[in-house]
Amino acid sequence: MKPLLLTIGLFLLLPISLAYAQAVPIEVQVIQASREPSGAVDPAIGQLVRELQRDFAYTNYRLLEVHKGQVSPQSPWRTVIAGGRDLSVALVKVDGGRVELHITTPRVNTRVSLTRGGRPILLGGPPHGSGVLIMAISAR
Amino acid sequence: MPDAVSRQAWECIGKGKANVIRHRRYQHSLNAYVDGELGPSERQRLEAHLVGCGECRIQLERLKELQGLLRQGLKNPIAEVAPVLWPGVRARIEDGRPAGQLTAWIRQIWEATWERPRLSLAGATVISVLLLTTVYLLWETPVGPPPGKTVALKPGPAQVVVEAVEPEPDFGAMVLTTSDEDEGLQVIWVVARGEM
Repeated sequence: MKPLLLTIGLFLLLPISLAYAQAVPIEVQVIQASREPSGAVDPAIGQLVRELQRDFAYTNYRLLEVHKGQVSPQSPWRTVIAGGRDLSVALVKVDGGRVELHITTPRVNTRVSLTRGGRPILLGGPPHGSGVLIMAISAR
Repeated sequence: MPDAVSRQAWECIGKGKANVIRHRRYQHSLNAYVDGELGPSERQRLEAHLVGCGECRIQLERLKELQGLLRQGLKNPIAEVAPVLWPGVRARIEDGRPAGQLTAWIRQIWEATWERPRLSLAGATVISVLLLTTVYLLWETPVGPPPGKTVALKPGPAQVVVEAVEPEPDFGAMVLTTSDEDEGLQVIWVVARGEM
């Protein structure tokens, strides 16, 4: 009797384990960029900011939040970021080391293809406080 | 009156198509007569015709003279004459030797060219235009580098590819790439319509 129950239990757990196997960790860094004269840059986002400073005129970059979650083909990931803005990430496709994501924010919907563990896609522009928000979304 | 028959012969043989045909047949038999190849009956008929036909008599005399010359030539060996004449004869034979296929083909074209000069001129013009066009198209014009800064693209897909952007109705979105040395960051920048 016990082996039978164990087999049934494993059989029921199989889809869940498969879903977890296909899950992709997502990380979102919410950054506020502004033109305040202090010129402070959060050390946690130093590398990213150095790249942004080449082309953007903002002087201050502050890391407001870090959100982490997982997306799988069956379940998108939703979170609320600074200013009460909804952010939704859905997994469209996993192809080797690349993932295709559908990202939804209150202002824009976009579909991007990212290298897992590679560079993030940045969504910026919404006003926040004295500056703007920049979301750096990456797949792990 | 038939042109082929002289007035003298006409007077001899009399009017009528049958007489003309008979006269021509006798003319053709003259060679055989001189060579002694005619049968007795044919010979008698021809001799009867010769009595009344001056033209045939004149032709017969000529044939006899020619035959006499030939016999005389055969009796005198040509060995004495040959050394003098032979080089010239041989040169003429070699000039008349059939030409090669290519030479004959060129000769045919040459003759055809002069037979139809207008057509040849038109053909030559068309061929010239085609040749010039071909040379012009095949001529390799050196292409210099484009003006401005040349950016070397890295092989392989970029780490981040923006496939689609759909802003809300009152907003606009731009996809920017930062000027990073390795690979620029892809930034989707969203702004309200009034701020653009």
